[in-house]
Amino acid sequence: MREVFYSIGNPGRAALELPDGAPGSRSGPADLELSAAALPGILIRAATTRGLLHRRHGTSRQDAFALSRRAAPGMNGEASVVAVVCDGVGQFGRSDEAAVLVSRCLADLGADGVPWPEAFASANDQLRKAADEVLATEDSDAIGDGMATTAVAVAVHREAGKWAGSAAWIGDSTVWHLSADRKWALLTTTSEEEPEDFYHSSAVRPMPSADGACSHREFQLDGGALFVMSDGVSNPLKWSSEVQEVLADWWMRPPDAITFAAQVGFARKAHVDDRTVIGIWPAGGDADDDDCQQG
Amino acid sequence: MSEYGVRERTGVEQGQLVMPFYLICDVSASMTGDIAALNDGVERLRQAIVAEPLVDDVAQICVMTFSDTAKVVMPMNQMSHQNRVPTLSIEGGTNYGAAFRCLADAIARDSASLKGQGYKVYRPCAFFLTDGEPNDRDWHRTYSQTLTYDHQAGVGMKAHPIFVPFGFRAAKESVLAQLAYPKDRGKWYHSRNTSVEDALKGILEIIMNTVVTAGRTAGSGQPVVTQTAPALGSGIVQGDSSYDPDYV
Repeated sequence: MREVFYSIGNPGRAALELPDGAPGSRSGPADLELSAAALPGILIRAATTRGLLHRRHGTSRQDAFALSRRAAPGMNGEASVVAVVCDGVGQFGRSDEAAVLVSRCLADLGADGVPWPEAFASANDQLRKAADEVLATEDSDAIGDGMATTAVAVAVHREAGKWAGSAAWIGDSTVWHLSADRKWALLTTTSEEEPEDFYHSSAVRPMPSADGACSHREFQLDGGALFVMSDGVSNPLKWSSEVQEVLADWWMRPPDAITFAAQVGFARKAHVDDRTVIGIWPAGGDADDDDCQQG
Repeated sequence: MSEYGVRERTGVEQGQLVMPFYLICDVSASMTGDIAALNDGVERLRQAIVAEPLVDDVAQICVMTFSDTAKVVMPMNQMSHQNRVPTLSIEGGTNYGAAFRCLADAIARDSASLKGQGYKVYRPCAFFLTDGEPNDRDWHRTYSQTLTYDHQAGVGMKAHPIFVPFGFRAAKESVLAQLAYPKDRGKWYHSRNTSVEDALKGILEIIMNTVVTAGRTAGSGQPVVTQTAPALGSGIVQGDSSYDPDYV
């Protein structure tokens, strides 16, 4: 029986019983990547973990994240953090590469201040080109060598004690605001709602698409913290008040990076996909009204 | 607790993903000599699922039988919460319509119950095992009315299952082809094996592979219900759906 350090509700048999599994099918990518970073007024924790499904199958993690900082500062000189999360589409064999490519591309373009619609169109073109090159090789296979990913990107800075920024997305990766009174609010709503009769996330539209068109919005938020995440975390968060409460307990204040990564990989029955979260907190802490610790 | 029993905290977690499977077994009189093989095969299927924690966490199975009438013999459940599958016993004729109506009722009931408990439910998959031709003349009309959906007209069972028919002995391929659904990706299987025990073994192997593959992928939100090709030398043939709502 495996030891599960962080669990929300019933961890499920898979989390308790499955061994670690073979290394990923592609040499190189780690099961876990994490970053801790800070900008004036901002603390950042980011983690991506290989889900139980990929561990069981000996396949690579298909989520990815990328961080950068915007060279052009906020209106009053504040630095912006650029945070990108991508979730490779599981049915295609090289979607892990798609997620890495698109996340880095969007983080670079976001750092240069390229407006999100242009940045997404450019990332879409780059992904399409890469996917076409792979499929043009001899013996390539449309599924085994296919590349597709969702993407969500945020550029945000502190302005007069508030969060000010923009978000853009394709597919079901999301941005959430955790308010000072512990309420979770989804900032990235989509018209691609779940079908009424049965759940099936493959209805989500990924990249590459025909034109790379993305949804996007500006926001200004008072207090709290921001979280950019893949559906491995956002689905249980969206569907369960218990998950909302526990994650609010854990993340009202920034944990240390190692703890954050372990929490991102929390066990919960039947939720076995890769997990990725970038948490963005105010430095000095105004995520809640108490004095906050700095991770 | 059996060799395959597993201790786990029970209870539903809000937002827990579940993939329902229905196994509908023909227990008409012609199955008299084969019922032991059928019972063994169904129990092996249960054990195979329990042995795969990823699958057991997401798959729930309901076992039904049909003859002149149809009934649920094992209500939908996680297999590790079920010590054994109840023993199936021989009954009377081969009324497909009774099976279709019973399945449609069970799907509606289970779907409402699962969603009411907070589950997120995938589209169900139904495996239909039969060794004979239907006795009821209006079986196709009953099937169309209970288990299919006309997308253009918006009429029928919107929550229809992926219906996978398996036939052996006197079951006709033309009938099985009408039952495979949905039409664009439905498959049927027929065993030409003279040994019914071998036929059942091959059929249940395909069902096992389908459940395990779908269950292993369901956690990604994109379950793959691959209706695998029969093993070479199994004596089983596979074909595409030729479902026609106007079939007479």
